[in-house]
Amino acid sequence: MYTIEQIKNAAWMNAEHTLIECEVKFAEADQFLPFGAPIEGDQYAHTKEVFDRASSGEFGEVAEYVAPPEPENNQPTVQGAQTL
Amino acid sequence: MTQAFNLAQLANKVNTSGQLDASTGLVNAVPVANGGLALSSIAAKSIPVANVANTYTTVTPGASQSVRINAGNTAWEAFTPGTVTSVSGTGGLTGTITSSGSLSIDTSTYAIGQIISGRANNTTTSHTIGSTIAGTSLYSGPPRSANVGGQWQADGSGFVFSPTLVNTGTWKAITTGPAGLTGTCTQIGLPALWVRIS
Repeated sequence: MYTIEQIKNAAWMNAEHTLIECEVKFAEADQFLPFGAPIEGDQYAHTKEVFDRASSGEFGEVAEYVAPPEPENNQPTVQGAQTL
Repeated sequence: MTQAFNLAQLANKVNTSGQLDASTGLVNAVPVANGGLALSSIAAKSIPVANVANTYTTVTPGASQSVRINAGNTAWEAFTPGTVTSVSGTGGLTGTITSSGSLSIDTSTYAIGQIISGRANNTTTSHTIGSTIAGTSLYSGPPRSANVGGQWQADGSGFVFSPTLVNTGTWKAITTGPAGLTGTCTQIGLPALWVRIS
């Protein structure tokens, strides 16, 4: 069980408002961690708690979802691998 | 006089073969010792059971109920059978059993400590070993060895399919990319190994 101390930079990740991305400071961690919190489907209570508390506005307004632009080409390339 | 009269009355219940009509010639319930149930009535759909020796009683299940010995092993009882609707296993594996009895394994649930192959979901995200990312920004893919539907490039450089967003939790990179690649992984499509940490 993780204990939530603080949540920041919460943002809706879809227009249906069923998924939140945010940063969470757990008591068990020494820093804020990026965190994904779906409204359901995760087995952990702390995930549901993050969603509920963030969506309620307890830690500030949740930024509205912004649809990403259509990618021109997101396919991996051999060239890309060779540049690393 | 009285005994003779009573015998005459009983004789009226006996047919010409000397057989007694049980439906009219008997009074009171036949005891267990005589092969009866010692019951004077029985409710519809009830079942005679013996919770103690030599004594019958009845249990009457309701709709969709069954009959079993109770937990204390002291008596029969009517009960509603339970239904298994879900299963769980090690590593966070869960599943749902449908009303038709089929099992559906939930592949969208990730356990803390679970390792997946995956990549960030945008072209600007880079990571090194130890980088953390929200599940909402991480795509998961099939194991490298699986190459499901040809979803990996032949040179091993990355996914060539539309993978699924993990959506949940915090994930930490434990590799930077395909074998042999080191440093910062910035190339979209390059998969790494990620472990869920919260």
